[in-house]
Amino acid sequence: MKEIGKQVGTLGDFEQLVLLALLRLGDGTYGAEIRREIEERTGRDLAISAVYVTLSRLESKGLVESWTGEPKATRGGRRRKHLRVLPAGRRALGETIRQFQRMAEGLERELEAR
Amino acid sequence: MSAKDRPAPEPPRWALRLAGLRAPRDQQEFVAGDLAEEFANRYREQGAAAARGWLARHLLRCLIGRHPGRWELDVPTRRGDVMSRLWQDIVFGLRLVRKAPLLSAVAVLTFALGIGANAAIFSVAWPVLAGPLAFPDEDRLAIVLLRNDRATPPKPNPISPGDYFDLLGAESFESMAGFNLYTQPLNLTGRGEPRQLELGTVTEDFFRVLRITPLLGRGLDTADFGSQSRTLVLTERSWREDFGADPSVVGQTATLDGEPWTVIGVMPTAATVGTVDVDGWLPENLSRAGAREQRSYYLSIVGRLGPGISLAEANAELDAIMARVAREHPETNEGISAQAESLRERLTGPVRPMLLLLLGSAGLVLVLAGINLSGLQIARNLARGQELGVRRALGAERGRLLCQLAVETLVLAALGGGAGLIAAAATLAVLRPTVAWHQAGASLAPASVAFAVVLTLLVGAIVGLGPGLLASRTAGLGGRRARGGTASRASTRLRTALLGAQIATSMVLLIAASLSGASLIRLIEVDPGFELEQGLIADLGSPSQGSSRIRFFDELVEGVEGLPGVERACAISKVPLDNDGAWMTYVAEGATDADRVAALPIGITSGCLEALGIELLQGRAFERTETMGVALVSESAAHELWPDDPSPLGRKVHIGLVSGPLLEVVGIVRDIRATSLESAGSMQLWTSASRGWPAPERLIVRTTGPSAPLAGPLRELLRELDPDLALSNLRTMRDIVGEATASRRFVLVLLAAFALIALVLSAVGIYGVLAHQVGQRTREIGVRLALGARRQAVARTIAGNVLAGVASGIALGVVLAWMLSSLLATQLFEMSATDPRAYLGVAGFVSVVAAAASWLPTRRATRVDPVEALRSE
Repeated sequence: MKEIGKQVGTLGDFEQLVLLALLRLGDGTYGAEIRREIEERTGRDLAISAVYVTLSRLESKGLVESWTGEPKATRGGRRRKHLRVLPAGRRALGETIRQFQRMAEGLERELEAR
Repeated sequence: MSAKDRPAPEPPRWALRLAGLRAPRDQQEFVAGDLAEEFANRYREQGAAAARGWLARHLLRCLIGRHPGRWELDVPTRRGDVMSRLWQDIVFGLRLVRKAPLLSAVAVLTFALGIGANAAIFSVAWPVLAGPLAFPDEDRLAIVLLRNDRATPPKPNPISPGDYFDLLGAESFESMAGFNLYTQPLNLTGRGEPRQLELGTVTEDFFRVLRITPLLGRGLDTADFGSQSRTLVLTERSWREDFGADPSVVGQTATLDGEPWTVIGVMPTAATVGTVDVDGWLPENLSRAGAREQRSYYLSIVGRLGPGISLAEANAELDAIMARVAREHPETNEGISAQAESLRERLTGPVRPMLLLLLGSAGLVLVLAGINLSGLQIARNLARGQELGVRRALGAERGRLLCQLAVETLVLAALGGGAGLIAAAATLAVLRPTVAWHQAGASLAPASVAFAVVLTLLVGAIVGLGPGLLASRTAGLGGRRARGGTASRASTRLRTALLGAQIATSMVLLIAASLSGASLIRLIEVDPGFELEQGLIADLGSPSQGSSRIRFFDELVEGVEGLPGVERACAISKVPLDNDGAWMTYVAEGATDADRVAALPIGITSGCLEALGIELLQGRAFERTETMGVALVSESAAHELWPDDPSPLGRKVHIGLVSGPLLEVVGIVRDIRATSLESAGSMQLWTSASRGWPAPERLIVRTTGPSAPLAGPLRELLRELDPDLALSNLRTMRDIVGEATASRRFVLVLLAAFALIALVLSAVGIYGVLAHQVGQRTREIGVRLALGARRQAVARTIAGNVLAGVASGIALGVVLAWMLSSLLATQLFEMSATDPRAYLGVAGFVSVVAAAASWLPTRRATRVDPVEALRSE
C-alpha cells in the first residue's frame, strides 16, 4: 500500500484542481485564495478542510512545499500556510493532463454536442 | 464609520473546531484561520446575515461534503488520527443512508421501534422498581397490618386500636406511628367555591417516623392531640391547588365542614407515598384506655426498623406479641397475627410482575428488531461484497473494514435510537394518564435516556459486528467475485435460523397479547351484581347541620328525583368499585364471638337498590323513613351468618361482637363486586343512612338519558340546600369501571402493540429473506426451468427452507410461551396461561401471515423466464 503511495501515480480530481490553482496564483499563495480561485473558475465550492486534506497529501507526495507565515489579526491571531509547487508537482500535473488529453483526442465534437 | 472598518466578529469556537474536524490535526490552525478570514470578509462585504448563512452552509460542507477519498490510491491517512477516521466512517455511513433511503428507513424504523418500546417501558418501570421513595433511609421503613389466618388465602387486615397499642411495644422498631387507612372527606369553605378535601388522620410520630421535614410550619405535636385542638397539616399539592400556594398559610384558619381548623404546616406530598393518598392530615386521637373495647379495624402502622434489625426479626417479635394478645383475648384475636412488610415491597409488590412482564416483552421486541437488522446488514454487506473485496485487496486491514461496517451500523442505530427516544416521549405523554394508578410519575428521566443510549450502542455494535465479521471474512478471499448463481449456503442457513427465532419471538408476544385480551374481555363481561349504564356519581361530604342529617338526605334525594331526566337517586357511603370502606365484623344473634363474620358495611338512603340496579332476593328494601335498627344482608353474608336458614328474614345480627347493638334483617340482596371486579363473593351488609355510620357521603343518580346536562342543576340544588356542601368528583360508572380495569388495559395495549410490531417485523423478515433468495437464484431457477423442472417444484425449492424456518419457529414459539406462561399467569383473570385455544389460534394466524409474506417473492420465482435469466449472464 505504502509503495503505491510513494509512486505518486495519477492525481485525484481534488489534487488536480488544487495544483492548477497553485500554478495560477503563483508562489506564496494560501488556502483561502486557492478556494476562491477554484470557486470562481469552476463553480465548485470546496470545503476548507477538503482543501487542506488535499494540500497535506500533495506535500507528503513531495509535489508542493509550504512555509508558515506570521500570526495575523484578520485571522484571529492565526498564521497562514503559504505554498509553492515543486518541479515534481508540475511534472505530475503535466502527465495527468496529457493522459487526459490523449483520452479526449478526437472526441471534441462528441463532447461539444452534449 | 464605513462598513469596511466595522470590526467583524470571529465565528464561534465550536464552528472553528467543527470545520477542522476532518482535516489532519496539524492543519487545523490553518482551516480555522481561513474560516475566520473568509467569514470576516463576507461580514464586511455582505452583512452579518449573509455571513452567518455562509458559515452554516460551509460547516455542513466541511462535515458531510465530499473530501478526497481515503481509499483512493493516495497517501494513507496520517498518523492514526482516530477522530478524523471515525468521522470519515460516520460521514460514509450517512452517505450510504442517502444512497439507499428505503433500506435505511426500514433499518432506522426498526431500531426506533425496538429502542422506543424499551425506553418507554423503562421509564415507567425504573422509578417503581429502583427509584427512591423520597424518604431518608427508606429501606428501614415498614408497614404493619394484621393478618387473618383463618381466611383463605390469609389476607391483610386493618388494625384495631387495642392491637395497635400492643404492637407499639415491639422493640425491633426504632419508632412507630399509626395512620387511619380510610380518608375523611371534609368540605372546605370560605375560599372561593366550596371544595372537598380528603383528609387522613395520623398519630403524633407519623412525620418523624418517615423523617420528612415540613416545607412550611411544622408537623404534629403532643399539644395538637387535645380534645379541643383543631389543627391541620396540608400536603404540598393541596396547598398549591386549594390554598393558592399562599406562603403565609401557616396560622391561617380553614373552615372544614363549618368548623375552624388552624393550618400548622405544609408537608411534601411524598409523605402520602405508601400510606394513604390524602390532601392533608388531622390528628388521630387514640387513647390506651378503653382501646381494647373498640371493635373497629381501620388503622395501619408505619414503623422504622432499628439499625441492623431485619424484617424477619421484626416479624418474629410481632408474632410473639400477637400470640400473647390472642391468649389474653381469644374472643377477638384468635387466628390473628401481624405482619410487617417493607414500604417498598408494599408499593411495588403488586405491580412488579406486571412491569417485569412488560420489560420482558419490550426486550423481546428489541431482540426481534436486532434479528431483522442483522438480516438487513447481511443482505447489504453481500451486495457490497465486491466493494469490500476490492478494498481488502488494496490492503485495507480487516479490522479497519470491520470498524467501518460497525460504525455504519451505529450511524443507523443512532438515528433509530434518537427517533425511538422521541417516540418513547410521545408514547409516555399518551400513557401518563393510564399509569396514574401507581405513584411513579412516568417521564423520560436522564436514567431512561442513558438506558436508551446504552441499548442503542449495544444493539448497534452487535448487529454491526456479527454480519460485519462474516462480510469481512468473505471479502478476505482475495476479493473474489460475489457469487451470482446461487445463494451462499452459509448466509442462507444463517438467515433461515434467524427467521425461525423471529417467528418464535412473535409467537410468544402474540400469545401473551391474546391471552391478556381474552382475560380483559372476561373481566369486563363479569356481572358485578349492579348496573348503572346511564347516571352520575358525585361526592358530597356531610351536611354541616349534623342533627338534621336524615332530613337533609331526604330533601336532597327528593330534590334530585324532581329534576328532569332523573329516574332514581340516593345517597351511599361506598360506591361499588370506587372508594375504600372499612370492614366490620358481625355476629348472628345467639351465636358466639368466634362465629363472627367480616362484611363490608354500606350505608344508604332508600332507593339505592333501584338506583344501582341491585336485585332484591327476599324481603323488602329500605323505605323513605327507615328506622336505625334494620339491615339488608347480601346473599353470601346471610349464608355465612345463618348457614342453616335459607330465609333469615326477621332474624337479628350484632354489629361488631356479641356486645354490639342488634340490627333486624328486612331483606336479602344479591352479592355485588364492591371492592374489585376480580374478587367475587365479598359480603355486604347494607344499613340505613339514619344510623349515621357509615355516612352516606356520595350521591348516585340514575337517569333516563345522557347524564352530562344534569351537573349544573345538581350543583344549584345542592347550593340551595346547604351552601357549604361541595359537589365534587362527578363521574359515571363507566369511568369507575374504566379505572378498575386501567392497569389491565395498560398491559394489554402495550402487549398488543409489541405483538403487532413483532408480527410486522417477522413478515418483513420473511419477505426480505425470500425476495433476496429469489433475486440471487434467478439464474439457477432459469437453468432448472430450462432443463424441464415444473414451476411448482421450483416454488417448493425456493419457499421450502424458509417455510421450514417458519414452522420450526412456530414450534419453538409454542414451547417458549408455554415455558414463560407462569410469568403471565399472575396477570390473567379467570384464564389459564396455557389455554390451548390461544396457542392454536396464534399458530394458525402466524402461518397465514407467513404464507402471505412469502407469496409475492415465490410467485416471482415461478414467473422467471428461463431465456431472460440465462441471457443476463
